[in-house]
Amino acid sequence: MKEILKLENVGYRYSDADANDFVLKNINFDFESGKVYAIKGKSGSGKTTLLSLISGLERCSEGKILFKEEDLGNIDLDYYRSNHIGIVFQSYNLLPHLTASENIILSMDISKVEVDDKRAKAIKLMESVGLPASYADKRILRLSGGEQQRVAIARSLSYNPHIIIADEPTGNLDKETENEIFDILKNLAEKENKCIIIVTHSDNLAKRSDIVYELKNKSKKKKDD
Amino acid sequence: MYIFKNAWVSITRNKGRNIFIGIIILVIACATSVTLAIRSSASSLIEAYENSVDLTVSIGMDRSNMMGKFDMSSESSREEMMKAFQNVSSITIDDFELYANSNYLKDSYYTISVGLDSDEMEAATSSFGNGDRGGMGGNKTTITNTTSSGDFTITGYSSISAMTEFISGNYSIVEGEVPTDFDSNYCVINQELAELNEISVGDTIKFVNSNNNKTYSLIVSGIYTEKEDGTSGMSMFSNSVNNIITNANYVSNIASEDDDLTSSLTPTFVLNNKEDLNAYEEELRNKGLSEYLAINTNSEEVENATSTISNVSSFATTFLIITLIIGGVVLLVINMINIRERKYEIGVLRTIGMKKKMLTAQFMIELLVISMVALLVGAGIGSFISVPVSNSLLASEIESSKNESNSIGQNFGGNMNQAQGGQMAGGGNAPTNINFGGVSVQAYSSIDAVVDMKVLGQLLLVGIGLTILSGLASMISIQKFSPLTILKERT
Repeated sequence: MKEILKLENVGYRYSDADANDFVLKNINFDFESGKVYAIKGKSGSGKTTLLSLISGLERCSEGKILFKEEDLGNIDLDYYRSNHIGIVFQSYNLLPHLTASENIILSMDISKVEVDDKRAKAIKLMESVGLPASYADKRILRLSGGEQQRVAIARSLSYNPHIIIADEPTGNLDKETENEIFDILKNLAEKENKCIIIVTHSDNLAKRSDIVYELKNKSKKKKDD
Repeated sequence: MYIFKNAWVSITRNKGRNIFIGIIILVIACATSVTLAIRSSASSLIEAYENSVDLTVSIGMDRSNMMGKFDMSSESSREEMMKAFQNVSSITIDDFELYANSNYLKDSYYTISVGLDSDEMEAATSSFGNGDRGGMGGNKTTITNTTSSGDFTITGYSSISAMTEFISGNYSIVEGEVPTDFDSNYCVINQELAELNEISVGDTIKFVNSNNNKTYSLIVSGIYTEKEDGTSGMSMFSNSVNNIITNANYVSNIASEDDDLTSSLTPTFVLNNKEDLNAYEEELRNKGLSEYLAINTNSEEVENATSTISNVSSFATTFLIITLIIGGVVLLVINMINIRERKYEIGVLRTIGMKKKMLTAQFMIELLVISMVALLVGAGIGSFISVPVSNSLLASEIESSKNESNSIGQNFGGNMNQAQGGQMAGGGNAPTNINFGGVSVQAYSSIDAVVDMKVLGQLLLVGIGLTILSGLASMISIQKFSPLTILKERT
């Protein structure tokens, strides 16, 4: 299967850092559709930095990231984030003044995806991640952490992206909910052929992932499950 | 476009924050509305006055021009200058008619004076002696040739317009009335002179030319008082108490029939348009007006008359500028605080792919909607407040002008009291005749003239401009925010 995302000798250092002070160095990862990837590493190993590079929030200092063989350095990253990448954060990052469905619809609006009935689609997405339709008009702050994370996943799916990137998606959740959320993501990989990339500390999630990449001392180790 | 929907949702669901911003803009809008209303009112008043007051032209000796052409250090040169001064001919009625026959004029009038003695009346005297004030147009520059060696000055007016002393209120009738028949031999005399000689309205008074003993009779139709002391501002040979006021036809007739009488004519020409001044002066020079005679206008009077209103307008302008500067800075700071407060929202929207320009546009739309509502409410409140503020600033001016206008009618007495005084009445929402420096003009005493669409338009322009400027400055900071940094900070 051809990789959808390919990292070639990716390095990153902060703009105000010394020339050789890299947070990431010589990263060569491949990501394919239909699989769940876990990126592990200790605090400070550069997991979140790597995620920000993959999701187009930052540009790499060295090497290149290819999305469908196209260098991210040459494409509109706003468009990339709003159409090809779905991002799920540990802290959900939903807009509290909007309802659950409005958060999802806003994402559809930004991506300019053509949908006849955006509200109906939002409710359908919510149901697909285990939220009842009655939650559609609930304000975000009235939902539990697990429910908010489900909304965040539904939002990331609203424009049918190729890749879902999740940064510690279950970090704030209990074990039972963690498994439920992972099941949703796993299901997306298997049934929707999405590429799921999870940055996590959880051994449980790492074990259940198809492929684990471990960041250690500014290098990487690939461990096939 | 979704940013409008998103902006509206943001406005309606963040009421506390937006009401606070709205109140700030409301206060700025109120202050701006009041100052704009005052400016507008003052401008209307000045414009009304300038449109109503005619530019008048008088002719006077150009002494500086004359002195500049002669060497004053030389005795002979000074003698030549005196000769030239004496040779500058007085304006005659023929000259007046020649100069008055112009397409640039819409009106013209004059006063003409002669000096006579009286065997029956005793002239009022003062420590300054007696002489001539140069006619009723005395506040304008006139050719003040000494008219006679007589104790009394007989001054004739060509029309009511020429009677500026009565219009300004310097003279006012206490008994009888000013004669309105300009072919009669009626006159009005000073109250002091009347008391000195026990003269009443209806009496006939006689004057004599001492050079040839010719006598002239006038019937007293009214007695006037003079606001200022009659001895003030006189030449060494005159006392204005001895000024006998009649019509110009009478004076010019006796002057033309009596070769031993010397008359002095003071012309006034009223221009059609203020812009015609230079053209009219050129016409006068072409018609033979001496280079030693200068053209004078009442433009300075116009400036003096409107200076109070102009000061109010200037004050309002200064206050407006200060309000806008302070308001702009306050708005800028609040916008920047607002943007910082919404960093998380900015971070989320940028992370899910919203472009910076769309985000900026959405925030600007939110600010403009809040501003528009606040401006409209502020305009309403401001216009309501501007009623008492504007009125209090203008009230004293209007009140004093009304009093002055009403008193003009009383100055003339009799029929003139009804004719002039009646026209001066006004008030309520109707335009009122306001008197500036002795000239009656129309102006608005009602606040309806202050608050209008022009003010509202100006307020909206100023408000929107201020909002955009202060908004733009804060929007620039959006461009600098990194979504990753924002979200990291939150985490």
